Amino acid sequence: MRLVNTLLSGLSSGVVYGLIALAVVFVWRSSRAVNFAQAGQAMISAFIALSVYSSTDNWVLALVVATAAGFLVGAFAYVVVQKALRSEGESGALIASLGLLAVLQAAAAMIWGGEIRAFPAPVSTDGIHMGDTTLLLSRYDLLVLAIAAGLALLLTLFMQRTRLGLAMRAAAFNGEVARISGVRTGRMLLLGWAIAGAIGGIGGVLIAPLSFLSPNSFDIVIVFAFTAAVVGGLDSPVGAMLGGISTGLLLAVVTNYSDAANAPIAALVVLVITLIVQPAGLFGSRTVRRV
Amino acid sequence: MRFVTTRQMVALTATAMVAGLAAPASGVVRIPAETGVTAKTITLGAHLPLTGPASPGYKDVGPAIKAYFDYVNANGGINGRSVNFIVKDDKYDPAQTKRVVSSLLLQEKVFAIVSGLGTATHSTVVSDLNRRGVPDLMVLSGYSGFGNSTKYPKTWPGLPSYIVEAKIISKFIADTAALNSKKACLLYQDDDFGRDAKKGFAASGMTFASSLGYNAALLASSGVKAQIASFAASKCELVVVFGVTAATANAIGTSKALGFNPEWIASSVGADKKTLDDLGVPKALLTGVYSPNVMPVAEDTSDPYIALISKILTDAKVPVTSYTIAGVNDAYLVAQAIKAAGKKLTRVKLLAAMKKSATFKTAAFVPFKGDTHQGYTGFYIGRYDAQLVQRRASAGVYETDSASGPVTLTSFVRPAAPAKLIP
Amino acid sequence: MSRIRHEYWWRTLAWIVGMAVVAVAWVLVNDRVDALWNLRLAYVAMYAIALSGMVMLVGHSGQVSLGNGAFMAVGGYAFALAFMRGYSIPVAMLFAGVMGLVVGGVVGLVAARLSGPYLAGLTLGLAVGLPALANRFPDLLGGDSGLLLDGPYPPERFGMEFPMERWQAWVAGATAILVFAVMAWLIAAPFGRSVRATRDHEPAAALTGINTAATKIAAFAVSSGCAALSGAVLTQILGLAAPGAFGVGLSLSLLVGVVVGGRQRLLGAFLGATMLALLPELIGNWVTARELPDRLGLNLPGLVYGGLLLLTVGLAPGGLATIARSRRR
Repeated sequence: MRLVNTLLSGLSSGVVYGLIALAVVFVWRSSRAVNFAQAGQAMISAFIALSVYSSTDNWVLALVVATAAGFLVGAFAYVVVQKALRSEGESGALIASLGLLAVLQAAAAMIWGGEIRAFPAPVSTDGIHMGDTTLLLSRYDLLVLAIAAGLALLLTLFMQRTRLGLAMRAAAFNGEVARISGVRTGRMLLLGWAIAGAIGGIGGVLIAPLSFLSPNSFDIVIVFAFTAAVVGGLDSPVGAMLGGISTGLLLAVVTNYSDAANAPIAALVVLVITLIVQPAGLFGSRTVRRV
Repeated sequence: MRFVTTRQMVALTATAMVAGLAAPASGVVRIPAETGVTAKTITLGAHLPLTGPASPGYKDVGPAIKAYFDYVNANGGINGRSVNFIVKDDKYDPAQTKRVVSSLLLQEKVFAIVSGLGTATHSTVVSDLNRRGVPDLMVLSGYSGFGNSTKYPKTWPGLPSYIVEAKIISKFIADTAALNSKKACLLYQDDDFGRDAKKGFAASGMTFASSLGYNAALLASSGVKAQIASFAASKCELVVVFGVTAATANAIGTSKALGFNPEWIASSVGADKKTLDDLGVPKALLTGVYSPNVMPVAEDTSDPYIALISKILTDAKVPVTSYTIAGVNDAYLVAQAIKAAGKKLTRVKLLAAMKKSATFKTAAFVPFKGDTHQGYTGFYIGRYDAQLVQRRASAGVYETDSASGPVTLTSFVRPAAPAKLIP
Repeated sequence: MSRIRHEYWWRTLAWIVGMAVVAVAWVLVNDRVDALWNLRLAYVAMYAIALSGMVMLVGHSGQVSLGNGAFMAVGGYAFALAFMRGYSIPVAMLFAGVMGLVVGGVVGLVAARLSGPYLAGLTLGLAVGLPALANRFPDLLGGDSGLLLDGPYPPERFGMEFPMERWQAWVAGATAILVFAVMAWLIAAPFGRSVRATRDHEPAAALTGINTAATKIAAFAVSSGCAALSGAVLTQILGLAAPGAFGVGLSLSLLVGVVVGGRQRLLGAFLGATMLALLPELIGNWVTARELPDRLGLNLPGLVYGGLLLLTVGLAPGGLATIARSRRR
């Protein structure tokens, strides 16, 4: 029973890591770059959502506003990082995304303050009763799972089945060739980053009620989300989700059965093992790239 | 492939040598005025968590003390000098504490450090301050080690020790019929703060069915959900929390989500109700929570000291919480010490004045044992009622020591409050 | 043949003289300024040591690491453990440096195989995970409060008035001069050429007989050794080895320092170090002078760092060092 509860407690945070990993994967697939500012963007969206939620008491509205904010911040991130991407390639974009992360955290602390604060959940976070035992799964956790699953599905369909999705993947894989075929690569990259920002924003709003919110509380989420993305495979949205869930479950087990301080070490170990054994991840494409 | 040419190297060195020789040599002997004291001002410094995991509640202590000294300055200062109180943020991170205190000593050149906050944080600077002869007054930590007058003759704790608190909690549980039969569990911060409390519990012979630690640095991201879940699984009926306010908040909040409903006893440094409320703990859950306290409560406006302190804080728009009340009271003690040290103010004279602080006026219900560096050595146990006013739940105010001495009821009577809270 | 040897010996002599001259200048300047400036100079030297390693790793080897703060932690804790057991400063620092080389080599075995985001992610994980080990072994490593050192104090023959900060500046400066000399030599030597060749075109480099994997791993080890020595110096300045001193923020600062300073040249390491050591204080003083509210003031350094990073990468990817160079033309 304890194991079941432990796994359940890791499920909802795992799903959120999956969402942020999804955003990472999205950017990777659409522009072959990793955006380390992702968690910072999610944090900003969560703060915006908190402001909206505190003043209007309407969580759905807050979520929508945060998603829109995430979309815009994502687009902004792309514009900011774009020059670096063009002149320096991957490493330049990476460094620029770190610069953006620092700017976002400082800006958030300036606007909302650096203290940690609580984000109220829209529905009950009480465990669901089954007979006389209480499961460590609440209505809120179920809501998170539902939203995340829907989002992952939506994205996969978008990338695989729509023309726009195809155009985005083409632009990422080989900009020159895509341009020749008529794809507006610049616009595709912008859209990719914007969508990733929106996904990250939703993730931020969903995870905030699970502990405290502050400009730095998502720092560790970057590491976990990145681990999830790598484990699942940087070019697989499904992999990102599953990677996130497994990371969440693993961390819950580690926290519960040993110590909370061991969690980052555990994530590091998983990352190292994955990178040694199967760098492409469990679901990533191996040598053949299918566009 | 050299990084500078030979010519550049020579030029650079020559410039450095000229600059070095031109600057006044620091070997000239000058009779030093006392650091941090001028004819008109005294400069005091503090390291406090303005941001980070411990900032909820504690960040107001800086403005509170500043408000107090502004009030003192407006009322003529101390022996004709006004007090300049500088606060630096150490984010509750021991490495940062080192840097900001270095800065306070070397750059702002403070006369004394007053109300440095945190156990792990202050531990990094306490030896150095003592070595340099800098008065280290009213440390906002209950770590019993700061009361060691042999090791730290220039340090006085500003809070009662955690060992004292743990022993008094143990006695209260043992004496209270409703509590002494319950299965007890302990949640503690996994550093010297929490370990000190464990020492106190061991000294009084109290045992817990389960004792779990949490890491302060990870508090903001992981909370204490796992530990509370474990307590729920073990069916604890009484949970003692020895941690910062955010930990108490997360513990109580998570327990509701689990449908887990024990009795709560929260350490005095983690139980301020306004902070808990700000952190999202519903009022219904705070009702019935026990917590030790050594000061009168904010709502007790008939208490003359509280009336004075509240006015100073509200006039300066600083929240009136148990932490800010304690902060102002400690600053009042420091002001009395500075006054007693006289017009010819030196660090040595301030330290001598602190030794006599047992005679100073204080709002606390136990004396401040300045001569032994023990500071406050007692608590009463309060309990939040339905309006979240802390009501006296223990038979009286207890006193004990940080060793194996017994817990007894105190006979201390507070000195009459002054008309104005100035020395 | 002998003419080249002659030149080699002359150049080495010039280098040794140069180092001696810089050392003397360093001591003279530090003797004349107050303790606060001693501390600032010590920080400059400390950062310079770490950044020289970053120049090798990020600049010459092209491996963008986000985890050198973790290697600094290795060196800092190694120094603390040795010093607490009574070993002298040089011995403890040697120990720290060797630990850095070893750990860097081990990490390099995994990391050197990776590129771009995978490397960044791994090293980021390292930056977050390694300091957490302090809580895993609290008895040995002191947990969150860390290992507090009693000292290092200046040798007694300097008298009681000799400020601790001045001694720290001396130790930091001496280490920095030695490290810079070694790094300059490595960069100019065939090793440096192999490193750059591997960065520029790995398959071609392999074809010329360079063991590219070993080269990349060695670059990792060297940079980690520098970071470890820098960490040992930081531990001496703080008198403390604690996880908070070596957090993710430090790793990111190092990256900012080497990118903004200039990642191809050791001069860039020096410029970046000066920025890292002095900029936060400058900003802090500017904030206090204008009496800005805490919220703005406390976070301004982070904003400035982020902004500088973006500006540099966008406008002057070579960093400050290259701006200085191109101006001279």
